[in-house]
Amino acid sequence: MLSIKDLHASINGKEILKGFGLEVKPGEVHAIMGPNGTGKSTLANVLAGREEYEVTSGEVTFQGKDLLDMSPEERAREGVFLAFQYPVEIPGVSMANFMKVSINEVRKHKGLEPLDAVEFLKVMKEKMRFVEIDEKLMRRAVNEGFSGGEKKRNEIFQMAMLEPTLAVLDETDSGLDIDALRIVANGVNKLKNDGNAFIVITHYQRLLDYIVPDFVHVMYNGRIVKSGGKELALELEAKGYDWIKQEVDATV
Amino acid sequence: MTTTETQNAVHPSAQGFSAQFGKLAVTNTPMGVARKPALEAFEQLGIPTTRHEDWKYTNVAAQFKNEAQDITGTDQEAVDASELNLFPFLKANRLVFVNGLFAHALSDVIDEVEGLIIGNLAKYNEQSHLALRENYNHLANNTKEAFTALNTAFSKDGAFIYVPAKVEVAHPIIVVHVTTDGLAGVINSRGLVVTGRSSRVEIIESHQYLGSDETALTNQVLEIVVGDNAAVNYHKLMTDLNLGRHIGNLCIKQGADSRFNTYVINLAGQLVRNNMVVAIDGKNSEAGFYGLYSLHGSAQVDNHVTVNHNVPNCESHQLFKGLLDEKSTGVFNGRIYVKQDAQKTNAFQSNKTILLSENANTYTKPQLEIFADDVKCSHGATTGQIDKNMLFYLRARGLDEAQSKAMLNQAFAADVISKITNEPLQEWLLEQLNLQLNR
Repeated sequence: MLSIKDLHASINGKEILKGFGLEVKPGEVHAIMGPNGTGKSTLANVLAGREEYEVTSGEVTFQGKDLLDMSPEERAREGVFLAFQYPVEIPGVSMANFMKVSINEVRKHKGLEPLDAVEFLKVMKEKMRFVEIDEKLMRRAVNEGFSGGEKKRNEIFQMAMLEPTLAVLDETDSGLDIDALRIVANGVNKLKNDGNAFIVITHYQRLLDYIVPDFVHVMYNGRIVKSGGKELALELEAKGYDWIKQEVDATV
Repeated sequence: MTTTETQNAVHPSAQGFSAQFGKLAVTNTPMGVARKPALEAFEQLGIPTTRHEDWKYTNVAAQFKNEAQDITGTDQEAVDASELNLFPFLKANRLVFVNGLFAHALSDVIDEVEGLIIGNLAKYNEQSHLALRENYNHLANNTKEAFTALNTAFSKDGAFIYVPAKVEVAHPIIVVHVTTDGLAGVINSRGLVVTGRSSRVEIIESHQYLGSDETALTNQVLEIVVGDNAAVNYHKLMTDLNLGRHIGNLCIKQGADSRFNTYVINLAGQLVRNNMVVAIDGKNSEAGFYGLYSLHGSAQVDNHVTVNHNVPNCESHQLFKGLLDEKSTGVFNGRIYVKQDAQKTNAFQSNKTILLSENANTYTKPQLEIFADDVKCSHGATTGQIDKNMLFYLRARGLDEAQSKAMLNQAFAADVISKITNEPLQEWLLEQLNLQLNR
């Protein structure tokens, strides 16, 4: 589904991704872990198409298409979803209106009829229950005045609405209390099926107690330096990242 | 006014108008007796140039090359109701003025209450109506404002609204000012609104131009007297102005415990100058000035607001927002004056602009003159581009760049429109804004 090969990307002339590679198949959950400043969020932003990041070399194919060639909106319509680490507040744009335009753009791309007001409301209510988000938030402006936990749940709500093929969760667990963490994880688990895939970027192992990954990758210095099964996450939790850094630095 | 002024030479830019004045019938009425002194003031002032501090960014003199003549009242028969936006979605009173004169056939008054007048100045001027006699030309500043003086000398008609004490006008009063196509010159139109104690009225004024090229310049003076404990909402809509040109002078006086709000919406217009001056003369009163200008082409909108806090315990708000595309220009000048006695004044001012093009310009100038020591005053001005993070967020959810920008611009501008309390009007304006942003 997703194939990333030797990806190099920089921001403001500074290279952050240095030969990143990853293969993701339908039905898989990949966790990407690693210390701060190793390029995890850069990867998420590059996949979503943020223009401030410059891809200098490498390739990314998504369902046989060149992802890097697409605008951010084309990627979203094709089924790539980024759950933002820091969801931005947008005063004056109502959640409901924003979501209605969004879902109908994605549907249009898939050749589906747009949802009318009644159908949209029905879908929205169903998905709101799914992530246990207060209905009142939908009448407010996008993320405006939302608590940290509400913002993250709102990302999962949007993911539930758009039903992406590939979802990238950028540190969705950071700043969440245990209840919110469980709600977010439940959302992901319920959405998971044989046809879609998740890349879960996280700093801590605790999210992986709830979202069980098929693969765990450790990122350091702009690329994956170690991959394994879910037990790797536990090892990292127990031993920290220093042993990996030492291993990598010793081979350079 | 001193007598020596008449001996001074007539300003060159006023000469065309001076020559015309002799043909005007000057009657012994409130409007008639005000003409000569106003003409004399105008002859001294002349048309302001950009050397004049208040006109620094708006080159109005350039508009007067071939048009230094008054054409108020021409082409009366040229308008059909189907050409106008008469706000059919609102149940309202309607007064229509064509090139500065009352168009009776296009007007319709539905609220009839003892003493309430929803009519035209020319008629009540002839009768020398008491409220007109006592208030006409009292707030207008003819000695300093050239266009006000020009207006007082030449205007023939306009809305006259008198709301007696304790009368709450049930429906809005829509005042439509129409300018017909193919004219060159100045159309002077006047207005007077007098509201009694504990009265309430909502006025929706729309300026419409029926041509597509540059046209005559409309020069309006509107005086509004807000009685004690009265509430007046005044909307000035320039959504159907096309490439029209307009200079407006709005003068307001507020009594005690009164509420006055003005909403100035510019979604069209080639050159628009709005002067707004309020004298808050009664305690515990509130004044609000809300403006939106969303422009493209080489349009220019210049809003000048002066809030005079003359008494204690009053509050004023100014919120002006601009969305400037292509080569358009926005100017905002907001003056807050707090008299020494005006303690416990709360006065707020904000001007925010989004520049949508590298060629758009904005000029903003706050002026705070505060002589009282126990006041809360604030002012702020921001200018920027569309927020990149917001734009990316929307695009990452499948909205294309143009859609996302329109949505963000709409949100930015809707902030002003949402202050309008008339809901059908608010919805209609949001639609107009949406159409303009997605043009």
